[in-house]
Amino acid sequence: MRIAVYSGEIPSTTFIENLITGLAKKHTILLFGTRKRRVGYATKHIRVYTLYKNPFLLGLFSLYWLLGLAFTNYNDYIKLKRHINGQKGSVASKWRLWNKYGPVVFAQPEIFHIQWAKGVAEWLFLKQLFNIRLVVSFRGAHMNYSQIIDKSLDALYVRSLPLYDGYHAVSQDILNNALVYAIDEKKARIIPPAVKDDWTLHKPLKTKTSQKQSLQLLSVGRDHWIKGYDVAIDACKILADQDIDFIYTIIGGEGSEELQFQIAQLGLQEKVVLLGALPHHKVKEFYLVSDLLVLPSHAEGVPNVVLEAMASGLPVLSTRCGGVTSIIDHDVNGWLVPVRNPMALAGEIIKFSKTPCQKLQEVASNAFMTIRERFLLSRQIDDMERLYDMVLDKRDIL
Amino acid sequence: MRIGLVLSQVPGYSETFFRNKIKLLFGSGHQVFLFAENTGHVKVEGATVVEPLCLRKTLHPGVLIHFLKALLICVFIIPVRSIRFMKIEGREKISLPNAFLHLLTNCHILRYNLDWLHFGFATMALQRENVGEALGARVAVSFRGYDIAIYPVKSPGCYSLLWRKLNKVHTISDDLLEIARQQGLPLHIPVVKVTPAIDTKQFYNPDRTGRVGETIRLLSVGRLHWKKGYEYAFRTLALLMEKGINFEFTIVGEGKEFERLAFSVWQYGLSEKVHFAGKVPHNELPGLMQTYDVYLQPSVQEGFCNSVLEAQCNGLYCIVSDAEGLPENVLDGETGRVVPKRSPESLAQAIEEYRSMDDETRLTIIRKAQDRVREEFTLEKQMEKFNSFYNS
Repeated sequence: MRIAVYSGEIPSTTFIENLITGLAKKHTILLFGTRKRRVGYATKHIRVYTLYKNPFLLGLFSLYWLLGLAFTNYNDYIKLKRHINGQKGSVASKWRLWNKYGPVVFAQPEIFHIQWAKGVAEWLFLKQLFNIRLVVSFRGAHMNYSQIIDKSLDALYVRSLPLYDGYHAVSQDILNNALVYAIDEKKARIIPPAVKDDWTLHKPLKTKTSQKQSLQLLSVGRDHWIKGYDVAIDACKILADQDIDFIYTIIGGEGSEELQFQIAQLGLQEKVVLLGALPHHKVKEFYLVSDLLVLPSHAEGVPNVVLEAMASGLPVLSTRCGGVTSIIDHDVNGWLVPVRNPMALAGEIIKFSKTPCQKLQEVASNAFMTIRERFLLSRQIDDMERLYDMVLDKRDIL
Repeated sequence: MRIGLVLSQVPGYSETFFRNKIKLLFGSGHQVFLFAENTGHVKVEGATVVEPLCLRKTLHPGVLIHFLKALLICVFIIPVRSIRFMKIEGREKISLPNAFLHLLTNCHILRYNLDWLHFGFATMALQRENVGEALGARVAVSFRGYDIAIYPVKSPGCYSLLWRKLNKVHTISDDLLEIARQQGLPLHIPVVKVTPAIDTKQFYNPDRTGRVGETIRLLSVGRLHWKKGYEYAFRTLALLMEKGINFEFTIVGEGKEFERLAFSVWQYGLSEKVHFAGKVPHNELPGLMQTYDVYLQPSVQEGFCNSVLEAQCNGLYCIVSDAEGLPENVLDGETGRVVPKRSPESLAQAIEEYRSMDDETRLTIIRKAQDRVREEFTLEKQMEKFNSFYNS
């Protein structure tokens, strides 16, 4: 199969990159998007169509694609030309559209898989004009809250989503949000994100660090309000007031004026550490030295950080935010608290700090098994292939 | 006297504070120069607006032209002053490239002979600390909130050079001054407290009765920003809803955090009760306020807050947090309630307290707040204080 995995950026987020390399073992993967940094793929099955930021390079490549398209497939070139001329906007904005659409039409994928739902309307023309099958992923924000707040996006979904050929949701929760838009449930598959299989080769031997040391709490994720770090820091204040000895590290929280101010105002400078984004292997080291992963988010798809922590033997305490509830069973393989509730979060952390070692190991072990049974990359790739087969009618719709 | 006022933007028509100040200074025979960008092309009565040259954005031809222009000004129009400025910068151990950049970005100020150089926000003085000395002008700065309470958290010690170059300080609240002292503001620099003021005639509403209906009507005015603490208010309302208390909450203002707040409202199940009114023209506010009972200001940081003054003047019962200037704005228990910041429980309690009060007590508090604002926070009073600021 020739599958375009479209996220708009090259390289994309970790979980999308995992998907790309996994699929490339059997299929040809086409990537389109703006270049964030240099990335080399080990396999020839991945073809990259980069949009360079440098206008000269961009123009050169676009010229190549457009001439290629015009000479090899004149009909499609004309169709695309008509489509772009039909759009509103200045000459410059139309040129940007040529750059964006040109390589896709030139490369002619069988399936165009959009990773972020916000772009659904824009790419409909691929199906209408070029008969390329369209698949969309519901991964998080764009199907959690954006459509609730942004009425124009809501209207866009109403118009475009039913026309898609396949839907991929990371959790039942998020699929339920999408079903509102009258999409055909038979065309939808729930495929959660996954961790690479080698993460779970060995059962992690991790015990809680010595009782004498302070409790090491960890959060990982970009600085965005949806992550609810402000709630976690309010919870830290409650912990500090109760003389709980702890250090809370937020990887990805550095540079946030709001969090920095909140920490200073609550006098938590000694307790809460904001770090910048770290490379994957460094984050992994943090999983090993921390006692508890805290996910204070207001809404989430299925966050990879939770899966990774569970695979590494780090217990997880999360809010009941969307997809996490499908991974964690309270008190079995992790802990859950209500969203936006510092009191409940602090209470659960205190309870955790008093939990006997044996129980902690049991929870960590259950968490590890959860990942091994349900969230492995190999399985995700298989499921994704099945979704694509269905979209191409290779198999009967189940 | 020739007074130079440095702001980031020329104050719009609704920003009464600076416009009134400028008008008054002009009226008292001073010459006012306003150093600020003027993207909205507004006119300011009584002041000469001087726009800075655009130098700090990414490289493009326009910036290059401005760069050359600045260079020509420094070399041919103010050569002596430029050399003096560079010498002072050198003495303060500022690296040559930085000093040079400071010279170019401030050449629009350095061209003028001034008696006073007044920075409208402390942050406006950054990288301009030595401009006053080079001009031979006295340097004043205003503490307004964000500049003292939030900015230095991110950049500790950012004002250490400014403290040595200052001649006078204007603060809008005692609390901000206290924070500035903690950051090293020396004791010998004279400080004048001039609180914000409002047009009390415009906002006064004599028709309050102290009666409240079945549904409490709550109001907040301010841009949608995390420092306003709206999410704590939503949590408060969720608590009230659990108790079966009827209310409606309107937020006037717009801002980049609308999505965050709207989602918060939705998640708390408050969509029916919380209304985002967007931007409302300032002259329509008094009329709007009349239809509400309680004004909430749950800020986590607040310099002083004009809206709270306006609300008090209009006869709204004000419940505010204890962030910086707010306890000076509202006297707890006398002219409203002041509750701990970041505490939804206390806020909820204060609202319930308001609900269970008898009409007479409510009216007494409201009247007292109205009287106090009309007495102490008038534009006339403010201007009197400002007039003497530069003279003494």
